[in-house]
Amino acid sequence: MTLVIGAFTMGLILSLLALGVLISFRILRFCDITVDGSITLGASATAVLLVSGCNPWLATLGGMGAGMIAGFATGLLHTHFKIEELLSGILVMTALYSINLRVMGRSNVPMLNSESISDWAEAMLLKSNPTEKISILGWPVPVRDLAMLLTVAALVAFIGLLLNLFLKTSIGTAVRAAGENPQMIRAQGVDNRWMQVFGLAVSNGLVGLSGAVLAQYQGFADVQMGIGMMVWGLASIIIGEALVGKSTRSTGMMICGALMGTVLFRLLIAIALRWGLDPNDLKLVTALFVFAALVLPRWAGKIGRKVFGGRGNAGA
Amino acid sequence: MLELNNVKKTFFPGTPNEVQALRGISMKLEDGCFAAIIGTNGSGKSTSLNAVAGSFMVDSGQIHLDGHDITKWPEYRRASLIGRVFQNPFAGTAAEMTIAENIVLSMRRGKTRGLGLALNRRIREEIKERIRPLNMGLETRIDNPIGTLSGGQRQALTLLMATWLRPKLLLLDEHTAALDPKSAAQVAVLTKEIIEREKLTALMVTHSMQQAVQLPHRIIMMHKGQIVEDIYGERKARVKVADLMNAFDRVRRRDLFDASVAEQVLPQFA
Amino acid sequence: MNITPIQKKAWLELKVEGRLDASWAEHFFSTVAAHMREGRHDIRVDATELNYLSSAGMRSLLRAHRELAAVSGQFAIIRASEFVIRTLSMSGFDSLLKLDLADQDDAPEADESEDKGAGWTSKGIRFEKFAIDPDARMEVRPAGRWIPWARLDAAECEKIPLGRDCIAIGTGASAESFEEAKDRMGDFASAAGCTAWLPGTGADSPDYILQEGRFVPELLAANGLRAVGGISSLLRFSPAEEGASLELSTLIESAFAATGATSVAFVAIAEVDGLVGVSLTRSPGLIGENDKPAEFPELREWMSFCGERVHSGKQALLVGFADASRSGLSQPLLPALPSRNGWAAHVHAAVFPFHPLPNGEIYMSDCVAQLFAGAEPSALLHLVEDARPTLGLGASSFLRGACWCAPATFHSEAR
Repeated sequence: MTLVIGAFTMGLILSLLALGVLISFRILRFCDITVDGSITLGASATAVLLVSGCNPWLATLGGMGAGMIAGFATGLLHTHFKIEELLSGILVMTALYSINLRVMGRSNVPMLNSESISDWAEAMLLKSNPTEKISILGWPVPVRDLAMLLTVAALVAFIGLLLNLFLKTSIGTAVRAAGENPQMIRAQGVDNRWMQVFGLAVSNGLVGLSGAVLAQYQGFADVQMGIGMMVWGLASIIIGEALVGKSTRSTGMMICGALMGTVLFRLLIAIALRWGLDPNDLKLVTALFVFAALVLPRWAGKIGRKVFGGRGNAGA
Repeated sequence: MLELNNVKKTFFPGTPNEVQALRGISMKLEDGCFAAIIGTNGSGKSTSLNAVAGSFMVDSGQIHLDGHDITKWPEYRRASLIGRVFQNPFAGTAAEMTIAENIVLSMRRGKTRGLGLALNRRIREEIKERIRPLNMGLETRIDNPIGTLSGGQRQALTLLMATWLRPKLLLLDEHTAALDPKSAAQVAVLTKEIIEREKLTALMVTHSMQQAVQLPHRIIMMHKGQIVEDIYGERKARVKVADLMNAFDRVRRRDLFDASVAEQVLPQFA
Repeated sequence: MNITPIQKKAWLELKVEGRLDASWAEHFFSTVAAHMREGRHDIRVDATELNYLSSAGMRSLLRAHRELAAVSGQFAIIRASEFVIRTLSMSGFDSLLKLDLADQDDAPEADESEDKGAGWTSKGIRFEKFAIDPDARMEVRPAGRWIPWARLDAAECEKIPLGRDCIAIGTGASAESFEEAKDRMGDFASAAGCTAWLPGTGADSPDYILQEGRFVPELLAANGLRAVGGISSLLRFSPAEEGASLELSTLIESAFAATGATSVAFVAIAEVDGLVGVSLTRSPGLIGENDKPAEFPELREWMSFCGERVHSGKQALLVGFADASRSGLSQPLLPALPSRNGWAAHVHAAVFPFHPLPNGEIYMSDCVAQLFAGAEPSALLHLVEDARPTLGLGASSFLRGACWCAPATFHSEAR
């Protein structure tokens, strides 16, 4: 049961990252690799703030803010300095590696002695139910784990709702349109470049937030923790789209899909690890999965067209 | 009023692909005037429109619209004065967003966009009210993605969006060219209706002579980056498709009349 | 429906199978018209297999009948079924269409040369000559004294009557005064009281003025040649082999041969294979102090060049003067013809929609009047030869038609 709760918690934390990737990859249609750096940035900024005795929620916000700055930088490089989108992301990500080391002062910051959201959550739950272990379906579960799960779930639900609302505001709709059809949104009097910068800031803010919570859950921030995170987020989105249907473009469904996708993916990974998957192979498996998810539909389409005499792509 | 003053644009200057797309375009479009630009391929008709819209910055010359010198304004800023419909019916709308969301985007054309919800019941009613006269049954489908509509329906909506807030200038870039004949005719009729009702100043690029004769008040003919004919008033009233074809023919013949022809012809003339 | 042409000795038979109704009527008529264009003026419809005839079908038969009657041709329906005969007679069309019930086949045997025409074939073109008046001549006089491309002076212009007795070409305008004329002077061509002129205002199509009753049109000419007299002979020409056409210089050569003179005036009506020419697009009356119309880039403001061989398939009215004696070369309005050494010619062509001419001997005044009565002229060109290597458009050429000509005497003074 601890394993399940752990997978759920981890999945929910990473779903914040998936929401960030959802914004850049699906809404802005911007292949943003900054993610790998900004998640670490969020984590390291939060860790340093916590170590220096900052309120855990403020520290979390700080991590989110740091992520936003990273996204803003990537956006600026692309829109105003006319650097290719992938390269802008790589530049910022690379720069962030050094910046993260600078922020942390070393490659790993443990926060064993600082108060984190986990501690705050545990304290909250203990107030209402002062036992060390709570039984769920007959399984005893440590209060700390359950409290963290509930807190993260609440946070994710809050952020998800907020994001959904944001995407329906005047400026949110403009961001979506800028991603889908820059020509169209310019004709409506919006500078699509700033929409892109803004969207990337929001996206990386969510990634930073994810990093901030992750660091507190794990109890440390590590300069390596971001590697492969963008692909991870992508895999989650793809699974989510498989769950809610790829054709769905309602913002609510997209967000739900990303959330469910991440959790499911995390569960699958937990099961695989349990069955003996070498943790070192995790990133390879993730990459192969994304590859397959991107390529298989195309092959299926081709085969479909052959079988159904060219009707496979109708309506595309 | 739109005024172009000796506007020039060269693409890829100094390369083998250099194209002198606009070689000094000057024109004045009075308020409430609906003009069509016609011309052969590569004559610069779409380029002129894009120069006004701000898709690129011109090399020299000035563009004034509604008392503003917009020569240096970026495209999105000019959109506060200009409504546009593109040739590609997919270019003017965001396919994955709903009809209502697309329209609400155009309801704030050139205005600030804040964190208020884009759509509310009042706005939704207004949208339904204004798309009902299209008679396309779209008022019941305003929450469907606009990508599920046909090209003709999308183009009609784009036209509606471009004129939702009365623009100082409406730019139509061969906006019926990519549609099937029936939808093209529908959109053409709608264009005329809207422009007449709102008394809009409009500039339309078209390759349809028929359209140029029927729709606008004025016909501007371009060739090789220059205006070669400007037909308005009484002359426009009696112009026929055949006259436009003849005018094209004249321009083409003039190109074929080179120094070697002159050398041949002059001694045989008298 | 299926139409099979069968060439008989004296006529062309069209075997029509199937239904002649609204959907086929136009096709039927255009098939007949295409054969008429090739000079087949006796056409009979074999109606054995014609099993239905609607009113639209009857109308197309009637149209074919009228067109052929207009060129003194023949149109008949032969071997009609009971149904077709009944339909036609009940509709009252039997009087218009000859219902040759008897299968007389080739009965009225080919009396090949029905007339006094003498024929010969040259360069793939079949010529026939009809002598009209061996003593007829044309007296040619200049009209107006403007010399291109000097500035035009009012005193150089001359008002000329263009009645049925004369033929003329030149530059001028239909106007009362010089002031009125000076911004609309353009090329004109006149024959048998019918004058087409292209106003030099950049107009797309020519205007025309016809002599009606006692009204004799007048033109204020800046320059031109006007001839009075009679026609001495008529030349008919048509391709004798596939793809053959008659160049302008060959037509002139034939006119020299037909008249036996070295100077001719001629009027021709011919189906166009391709025309090469120029026309004034801006009136010479507007030439100003600083204008240099005779220099290249500016020339394009004053004159337009056809750019390609134009008006193929149309009918052209040619009015021209030619000279091979070199005596005419002193005339400013007879420029040298590049393709023939020592020849000079000035020819204007007015272009009309195609309308067939009757075969055999025909009269110039009738044919010209009919041409103007049928439809409006669509273009007017001063014909030139374009002998540029590779790029050149060559000379104007024609397929079939009639050329009325007479020996010409050029006078250097107006009277």
